[in-house]
Amino acid sequence: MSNYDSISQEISEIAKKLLKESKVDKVIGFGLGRFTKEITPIFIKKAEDADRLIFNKNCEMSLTKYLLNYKGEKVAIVAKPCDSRAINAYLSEDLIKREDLVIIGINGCPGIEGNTACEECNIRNAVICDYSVGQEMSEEEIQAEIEGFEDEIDKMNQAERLAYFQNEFERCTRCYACREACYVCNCEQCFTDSNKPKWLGESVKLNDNFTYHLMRGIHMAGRCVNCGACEMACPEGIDVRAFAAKMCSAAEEIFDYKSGMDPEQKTLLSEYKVDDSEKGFME
Amino acid sequence: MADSNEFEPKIAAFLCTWCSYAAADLAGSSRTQYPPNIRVMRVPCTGRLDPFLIIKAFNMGADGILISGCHPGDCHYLDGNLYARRRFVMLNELMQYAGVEEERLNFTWCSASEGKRFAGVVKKAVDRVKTVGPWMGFDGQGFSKKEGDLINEQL
Amino acid sequence: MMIKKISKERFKKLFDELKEEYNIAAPILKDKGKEKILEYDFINDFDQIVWDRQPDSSPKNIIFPQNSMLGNDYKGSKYYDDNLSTIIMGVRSCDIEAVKVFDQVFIEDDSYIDDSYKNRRDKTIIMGISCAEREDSCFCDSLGLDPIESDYAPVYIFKDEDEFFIKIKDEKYEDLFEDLPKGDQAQLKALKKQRKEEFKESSFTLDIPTPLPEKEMFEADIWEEMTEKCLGCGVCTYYCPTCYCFNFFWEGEDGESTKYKSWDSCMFSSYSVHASGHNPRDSKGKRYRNRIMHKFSYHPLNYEGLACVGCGRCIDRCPVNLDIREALKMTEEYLLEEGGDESGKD
Repeated sequence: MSNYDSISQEISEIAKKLLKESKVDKVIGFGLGRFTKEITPIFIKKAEDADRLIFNKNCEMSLTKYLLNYKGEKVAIVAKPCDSRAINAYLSEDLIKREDLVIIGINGCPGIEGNTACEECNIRNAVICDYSVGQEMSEEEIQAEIEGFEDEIDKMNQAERLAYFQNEFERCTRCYACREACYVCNCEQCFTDSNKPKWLGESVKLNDNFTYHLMRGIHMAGRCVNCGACEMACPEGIDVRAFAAKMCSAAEEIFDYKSGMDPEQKTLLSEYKVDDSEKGFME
Repeated sequence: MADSNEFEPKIAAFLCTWCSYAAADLAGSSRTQYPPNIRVMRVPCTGRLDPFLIIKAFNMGADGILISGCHPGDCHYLDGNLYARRRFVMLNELMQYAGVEEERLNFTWCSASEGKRFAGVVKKAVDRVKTVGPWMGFDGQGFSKKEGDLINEQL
Repeated sequence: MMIKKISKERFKKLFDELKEEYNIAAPILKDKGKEKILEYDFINDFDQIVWDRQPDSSPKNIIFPQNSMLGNDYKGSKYYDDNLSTIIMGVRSCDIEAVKVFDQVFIEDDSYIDDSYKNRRDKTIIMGISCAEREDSCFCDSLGLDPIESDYAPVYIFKDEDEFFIKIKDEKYEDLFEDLPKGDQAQLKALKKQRKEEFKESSFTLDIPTPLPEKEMFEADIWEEMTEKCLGCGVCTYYCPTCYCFNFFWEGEDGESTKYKSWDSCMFSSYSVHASGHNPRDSKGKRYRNRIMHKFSYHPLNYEGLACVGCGRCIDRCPVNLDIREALKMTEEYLLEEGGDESGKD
């Protein structure tokens, strides 16, 4: 696993070089706010500001989402392994162009504090990048990191699961921070705003909250990269990652499909195989 | 025939026009008896089914769902049901993970000539849903809708 | 004006007496998944109250509930009785000034008085508490507020280690605290002076004209850069003690429909969409401009004082840590350069 300080150092150097040589208009990365010690996404345009770029255990945001705002401009982006998968997914869906991007990928990502997705991450190295920082982790090292990880919810029975999610979604205030932080969610009109047909009510009652998360979860099928940005963005600390992450692991187990590994990849549900599994079907 | 005290589930059935709906029709014209608990909604192809429709059906008081389409390879639109197959597997995984009993979700393939089989499938689905009792909603509060009055609005 | 001084045990006794006749809300720790959040809620156990730091959310939800069914008002928790008045204990200067903003908008504007707010507010007594130290995101004093004591609360608590001074400024409430032992005014004055020292240092100083010049700021080009990282999630507006946008909607069931009122947010992209489909605020920069101008220009133009109280909750809760202090600094720098060039800072 790489070390935060060395990663920060390498990122700054690469960014400085890119800006000095005018290879990019902007570098999107992490840095400290002016009046707070909190990490925030920063957008660097001048080479002398490149020293502000750092990477530490609190870099929980997914920067990939911002790429949609810079179509047509040349930007460099600091990408954690999960972010690099997201970039691949965007490329495969033709949302951004490869030639407009310079990807600074992080290898041997040491993880984000408090992010439960990092505990089960089996990627750890950037899957696409132009420059890489940190040291690559081998397959054995990755397996050793995630050994012993178990999904607590899988072990519960049906009634316990329902009760667990009911308890979590009671607190939901429908601020949609999870949706805004997620790279997948980029629809021009979200299903929540749909009036005809009206999929769910506007109230903050438990039923509507549950429905919202369930519906968002099914939209994640085969697209979620399990980055945990949704969970970190939630102001109420709700386990919003559960459904999406389940879709991620189900895709891997049943269809041997991992989203975002290849820019030419098709999404899970836009393809089929003649011998696809029919798990759960009636005989 | 049914015991008035026994729980009679309301099952929302989505049948594809070309195969399963025809099978249901055949079951009817052959006078093959099957439980009256299903409310049939005809769709051109199972590939048309948005998973949201299933979730919405549960929110409107359905105790279970039955989805039946053409056998893979026999789809009238060539591969609509092949896309649907993956979608249903993922939906099934998600719904079970969320706490919906697996007996409530019933997926099958039924061709137009399988009238008798269709009747058997319905009976099996109804029996499965009966074992898990009425669906109380994602919030556990139940539904205030009157008996037998399931879906009147447009989906 | 009366000053009382009591021990923690005596305060607990007072609490137990008051809870017989009043609903009491105070900051308590609540389990929120993996975290413990400090929020206001109705309670009946004095020992639950946490006095020593700024609560993570303001008592906005007590006087202006997030969701209410009109005609069937907010019921709150099991320690809430609709027939009783409410005491909110331990409200800091920032949140007290926020209540002032709500009062200005909802009940003091002669053209319209909001009945549902008035009914709740008339039955609410605010007991303020003096802040003992500055927290990372607090900047109320940069906006001219006094963290030691606000004039707008009728009763004020000053906690000194394990003892509490209670200052009753409004004679209406004197009999509630009559039996308590008297406190020494000189001692309280010394405590306040000591507190003032704590707040001397500030990393954030601001020098902007308020109200902000409307036309100049509207046409400034700094807003898009300021909001590059904003996600448009609206969490800042939910936790802001002065944000009051709300929405009505109707939900139908069984041939009937019920009218609901809930919080809305100007940061949502479809907040200002017209029926024609046109959206005058179709970018994050425009929406954020509207938010800052409302708090620092439009509100002071129509009422008295700013509509931002410097509590810092938007900074704490923002998923990308967008800092309103940076936005204000960019504004200050822009105005200093007289509507000049880009500041290039984040």
